[in-house]
Amino acid sequence: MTHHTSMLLWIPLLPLIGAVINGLFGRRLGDKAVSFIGCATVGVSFLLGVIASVKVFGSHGEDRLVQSVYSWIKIGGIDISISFVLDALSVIMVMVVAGVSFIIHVYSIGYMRGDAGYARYFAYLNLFVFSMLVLVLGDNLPVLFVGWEGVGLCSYLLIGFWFEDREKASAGKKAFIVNRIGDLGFLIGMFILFGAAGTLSVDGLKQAADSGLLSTGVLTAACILLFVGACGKSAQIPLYVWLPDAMAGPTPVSALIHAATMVTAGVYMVARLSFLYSLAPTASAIVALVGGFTALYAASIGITQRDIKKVLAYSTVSQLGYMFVGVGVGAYFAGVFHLMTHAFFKACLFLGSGAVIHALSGEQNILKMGGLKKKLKWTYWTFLISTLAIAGFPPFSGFFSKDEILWKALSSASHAGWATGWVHLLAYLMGLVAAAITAFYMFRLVFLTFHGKSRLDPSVHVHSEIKVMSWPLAVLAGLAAIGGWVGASLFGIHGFAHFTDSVLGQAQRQAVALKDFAHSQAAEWGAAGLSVCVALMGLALAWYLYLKKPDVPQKIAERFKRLYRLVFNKYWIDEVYEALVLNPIHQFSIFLWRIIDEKLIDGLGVNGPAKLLRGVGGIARMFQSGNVQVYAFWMFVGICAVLLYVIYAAGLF
Amino acid sequence: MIPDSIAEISASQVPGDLMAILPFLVAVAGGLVVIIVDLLMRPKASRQALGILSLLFLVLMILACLVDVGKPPEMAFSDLVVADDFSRFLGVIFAVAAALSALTAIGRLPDEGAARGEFYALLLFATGGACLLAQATDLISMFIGLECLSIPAYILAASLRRDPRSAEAGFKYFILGAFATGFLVYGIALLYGAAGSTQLKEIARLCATQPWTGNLMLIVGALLVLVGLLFKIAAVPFHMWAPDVYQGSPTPATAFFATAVKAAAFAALLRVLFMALPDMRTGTAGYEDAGWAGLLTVIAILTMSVANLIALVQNDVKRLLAYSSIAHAGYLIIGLLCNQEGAAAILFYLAAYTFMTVGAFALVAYFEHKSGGTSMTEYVGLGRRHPVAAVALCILLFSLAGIPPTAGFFSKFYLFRAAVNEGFIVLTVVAVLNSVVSAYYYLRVTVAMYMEDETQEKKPAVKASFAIALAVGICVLFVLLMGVHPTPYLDAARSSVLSLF
Amino acid sequence: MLGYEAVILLLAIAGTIAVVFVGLSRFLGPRNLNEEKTTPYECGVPPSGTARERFPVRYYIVAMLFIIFDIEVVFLYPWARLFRELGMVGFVEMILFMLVLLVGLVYAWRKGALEWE
Repeated sequence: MTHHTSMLLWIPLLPLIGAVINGLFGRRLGDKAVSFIGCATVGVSFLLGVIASVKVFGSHGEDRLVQSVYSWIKIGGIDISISFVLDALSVIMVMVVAGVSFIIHVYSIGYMRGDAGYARYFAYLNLFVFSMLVLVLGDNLPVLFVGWEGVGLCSYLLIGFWFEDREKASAGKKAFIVNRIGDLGFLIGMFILFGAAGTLSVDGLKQAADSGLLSTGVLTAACILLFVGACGKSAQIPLYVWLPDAMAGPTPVSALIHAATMVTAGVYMVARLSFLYSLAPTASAIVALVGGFTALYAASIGITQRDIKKVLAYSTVSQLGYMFVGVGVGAYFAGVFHLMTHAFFKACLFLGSGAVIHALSGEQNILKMGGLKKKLKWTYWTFLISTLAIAGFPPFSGFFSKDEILWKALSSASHAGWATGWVHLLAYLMGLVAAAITAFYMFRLVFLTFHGKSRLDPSVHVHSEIKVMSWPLAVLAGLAAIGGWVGASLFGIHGFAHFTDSVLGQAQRQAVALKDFAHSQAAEWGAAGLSVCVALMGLALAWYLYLKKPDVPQKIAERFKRLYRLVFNKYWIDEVYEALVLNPIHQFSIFLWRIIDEKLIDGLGVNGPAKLLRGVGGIARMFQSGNVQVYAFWMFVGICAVLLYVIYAAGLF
Repeated sequence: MIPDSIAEISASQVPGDLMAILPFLVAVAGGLVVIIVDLLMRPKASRQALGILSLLFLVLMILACLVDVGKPPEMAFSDLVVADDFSRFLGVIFAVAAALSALTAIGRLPDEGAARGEFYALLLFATGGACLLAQATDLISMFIGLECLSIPAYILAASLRRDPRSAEAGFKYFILGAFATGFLVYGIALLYGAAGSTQLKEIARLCATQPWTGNLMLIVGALLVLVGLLFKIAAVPFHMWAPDVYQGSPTPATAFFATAVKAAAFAALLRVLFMALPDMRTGTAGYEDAGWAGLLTVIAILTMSVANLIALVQNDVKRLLAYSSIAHAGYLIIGLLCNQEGAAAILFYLAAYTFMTVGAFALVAYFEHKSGGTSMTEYVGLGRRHPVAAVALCILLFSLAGIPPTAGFFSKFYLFRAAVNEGFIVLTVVAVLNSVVSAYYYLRVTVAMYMEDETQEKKPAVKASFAIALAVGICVLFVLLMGVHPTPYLDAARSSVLSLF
Repeated sequence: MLGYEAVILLLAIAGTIAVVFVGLSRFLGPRNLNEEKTTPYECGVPPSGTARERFPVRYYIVAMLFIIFDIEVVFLYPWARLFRELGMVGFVEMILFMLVLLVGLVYAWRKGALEWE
């Protein structure tokens, strides 16, 4: 059932109002008022979301709320309105986004205390929440795209928030540019869909897809292009390079934008358009493969990183890969489920790392930490819970969601045709290996940071924990611990899958993954057991290498020097991109400017002939006296070219 | 001896004819009044009052355009001009561009030591010429309009008498403009030779009744007219003058050139292509590439790509914006290929583009110190020194880059949509790719403002001028408004192009 | 081409005559070149300095003003010829036209364009 409401608009609007107030008057209001406005607007918008979602939850996800605010673009055959929808899918996203945002806003009060750009920070953060909520609530692709670009913009502003550092500023720019490349795909995909279906509203597209109006070719092209956009936003290969650099921003930003919310936008988009992806098996296979490979690849880089936030960044890239495996194999709910649990534990991990950095006055190198367990109690325990969750140990949330993805990949592999089957199997195997590595590098992080002897710089004084920063950690850790139980299918709880069924179910049944629901319990238990085993192996290895024999890792690194350096330097991808993409473009534009515009036209055109013809006399004078003649000369050449072209094309020649 | 009856008929029509060119008359009368008042003022007195006076006339001109909106097209002066919604829509764009440029000039010119009354008078004359150009349905009246627009523009470019760059800009603009005009006139002559009339509709009739692919005189004439107009919009390869002229001219004048002059030339292009040469769009069977559609496709791709790539390595913001305006001309050319929807998209785009470009130039004028610094290094740290102005510039640049929810995004969206509908997939992909590239150099400015170290000594904040603040405020407001709620402007654009077809 | 033969013929004849006469004088006339004869004539004094002399801008201004009022006369003549037929409207229009020119003249005057020194 569809209910109309006038309430949805206020959910994104309130943070926007907060952003405007803080942005314009923040400096005059003082920090207290700024933090109150920032937190209160987001908090109230979360409450509104809760109130609005009652109907959705009450109907077990069957009902949905819609609001059409006004007709944004109304021309001829196209009518795009600013309209929002709160259904089983977006309600989860609103809860996660507004909820986590609120927690992180509160945390930021402590983290950003005393920063010169306090008001600016809260204004940006509120603007981000606004954009993200527009993205998830949007009922058609253009509105979604507005949010999509908005979050990119805020991410850029917040990454470069501390712009004193040139490296940080360029990180912001990199994020923006890479995302623009992704958006290119998104836009073109959108245009293709529009060209084929004549509409861009989600319902309209669904109708077009159901009625078979869209050919497989169009669907595949559009889905792949949209996925390129998702790759940019959700940091998948080959567009992931910006996310690790994005850690230059303040840590709460990393937690909110670059872990819990914005980067999951790509996954959300694929889930939102699941009815298209389920009809485009090739595109889905690409999604699954890219996701699986990213999960494995990023996890392997995570092993060698020394910056606490970089480890978490690569872990985020890797976990996003899992989500894409989920939506790629057709288990859309599993992808969204992991998105939700990941938001809890990864936000908690980031905030924990922020607390550590804050306590150590900015130290981020884990090799210079150690033994912090006692001094940072809250941080340690919450961090540990989240680590257990991300590593996939039951009964923490990550176990259920990650296992759901892996299980769906594996079980669907045996039912699909051989090509798809192999793809799913491959995705499963990559995911499984990545799970082991995840457990390894996460516990490496925990052991190096909190356990063992202190390797702190003697000059560093460990600050005590701040209350306002601790309780957000506790809330998130609680969610990370139990948040997965809503979808513990292993124990016969299919709550999450059923809840989202009204939105994702049809596509799931169309796609391979859930064609056959009936599997033996034993197989599912076996698969789950296997994942836990590999996670345990990772844990054990980390324990052995970093607690038992702390000098071994060094030796291994020396033994496999080349490999280590390759991984440590992130497979030299940044350098490859620079050499292959950035430099050529830069050189080409310099070439156009310096060579064509200045050398060829000014030089060859002006000075060259002048030198050549000076002896000849009269003619040279026409070239010699300045640029204008040369401009005119080239105009003349242009006119001649145009004339020749048309006369030739017209067959008069 | 002319028969009495003809003279009487034409004489009795004159008042109606004059009403048809009312916006033009208001602008020109405004220019004359400004000159007279300027002469009455003491030589040393501030000329800001003249700026306000010219604003008054420009507002009157907007009203003169708006009051007749919706009325059916009305021919005047023996079919030399027409008053239709198309010309009214563009008249408003010209007047708004001129008014915003005048506001910038009020705030900026006194610093340059160039606060003379002529500036405003010339601005009004040029605006009048632009109106006439948009109304022309005959090659002769089109030519008169173009010259009324161009000659004051040449002088505006050179109006910083003490600055050699300004003199150079004026000189280059004049010489090359005259050169292009020469081609245009030659083209008009050839078209007249081919069609026996300078009326656009007569030329269209000729093209419709006989195969044009064998008619060399017609082809060359049409092409030369096109080239003359492509020069005015600074399309590659006729763009060479633009960066030098835009950079050297006083910034308020640059804002006017980049918007009103370009919009006027697009108006003439639309009239010529759709009213005179619709049948030359594609060639006859066997010679499909011969029409202007193929030619403009190539020029559009060239214009976008060359301008964007060169803009990437510019270190002067004013010059960067000059290349950006060339690139936008490239996007706009796509609209010329897309019939009715394309024409509507062009009008909407021009309106949006006017606000974002004038706004950006107004801020360049605002940040320009007395030393005349427009290089990127001057923008370092502006985010801290002038937070509000820097945010405004960011919004305008994001709009130029086409990021939602600004007018720039929506105008591109609508334009590309029209192109996709017409089947220009490759062209659209190139255009979208280009807009991605362009984001990079727009971003460089914001990076400079917000994210780079201030290596130089702290510069004092520039005193905010109310006039510039007002201009920028209006621009930002409309850039956001046209992005968030574009429907009324779109409807206006769509109904305005009906009279072209 | 039809109808233009006569014009082209006239052009050809005129050209031929010109070339023939110049050529004839060159061939038939006696030539005694000496230094005095080849020296350029410049008001009786030997030429000195560059030929690209810069002229005071005043000359141009006067020339431009002259052309404007010259054109005015060109317009005035046919108008005067048809004065009665054009009636009141024609009269008012011409007055307006001259007023515009007058504003221009006053402007040039006030700005000192007419002062020679």
